[in-house]
Amino acid sequence: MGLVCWASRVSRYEFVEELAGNMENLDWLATAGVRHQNVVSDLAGLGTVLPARFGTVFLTLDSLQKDVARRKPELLKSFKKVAGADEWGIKVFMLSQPSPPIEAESGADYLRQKSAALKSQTRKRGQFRDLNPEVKLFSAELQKLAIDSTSGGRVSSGQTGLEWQTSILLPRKKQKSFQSLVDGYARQWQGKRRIECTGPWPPYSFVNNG
Amino acid sequence: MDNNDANQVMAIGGGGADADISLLDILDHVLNAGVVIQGSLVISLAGVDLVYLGLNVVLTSVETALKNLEGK
Repeated sequence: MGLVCWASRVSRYEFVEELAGNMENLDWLATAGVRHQNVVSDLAGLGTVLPARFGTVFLTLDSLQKDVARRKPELLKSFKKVAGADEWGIKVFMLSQPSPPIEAESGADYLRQKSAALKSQTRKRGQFRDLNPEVKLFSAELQKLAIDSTSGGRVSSGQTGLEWQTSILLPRKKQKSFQSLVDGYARQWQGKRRIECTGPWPPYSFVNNG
Repeated sequence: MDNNDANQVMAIGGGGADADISLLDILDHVLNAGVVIQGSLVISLAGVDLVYLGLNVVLTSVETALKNLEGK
């Protein structure tokens, strides 16, 4: 069974030599990251796609082909797993509590105090068992609908008020049930919590990268 | 959906061109924490970690980049 692999040529300077520095440059990361998602998303419209994460770089076409050939058994398993399903990101936010006023001597001082206050408010990535029981229940019900789930992105983990987040692999035929589930919890949590869902994404988090 | 007290946002469309999908969410899905600098994205301004202030504060500076991409 043949596999088709889509690769783009990129600047070696940007993606190899300067990659570490570029990953910390939000302007570069934003442009390149969005371009990556645009291409993957377009391909996903054509059929089942196993997306590579941003920054997966092979120095030669030959090394790419060898890598794909080596991983073929796991890739075929992954295709079966994600067929007819999409990745969805779910975030639960606590609605903001009023915070004490900040008295600062300078702009930088204000930022420092604000940062410290927000750090103590924002729940650290703690144990699942420390989560609010209602959120745990929400998580359990999501798991019933999903093929698989993972703890979700690192980039947004510093967001204010973020209580919990996950990425799930959801079969398309379960999309209505998923919407109902989220609607139900949104009603239940009116005034207390906000739920944000994004999707459908290509299944970035559910490819075995062996 | 009643937006006066919107406690649910369903932003459909994982594609890059939708304005409602924030850069934050795109990076959350396309990046592998193992590839990025030790799993966190830290931007410093006056020595303060802006990620804790909410990346949205900084994201307005890349709107131009996103608009340029939409035109391609």
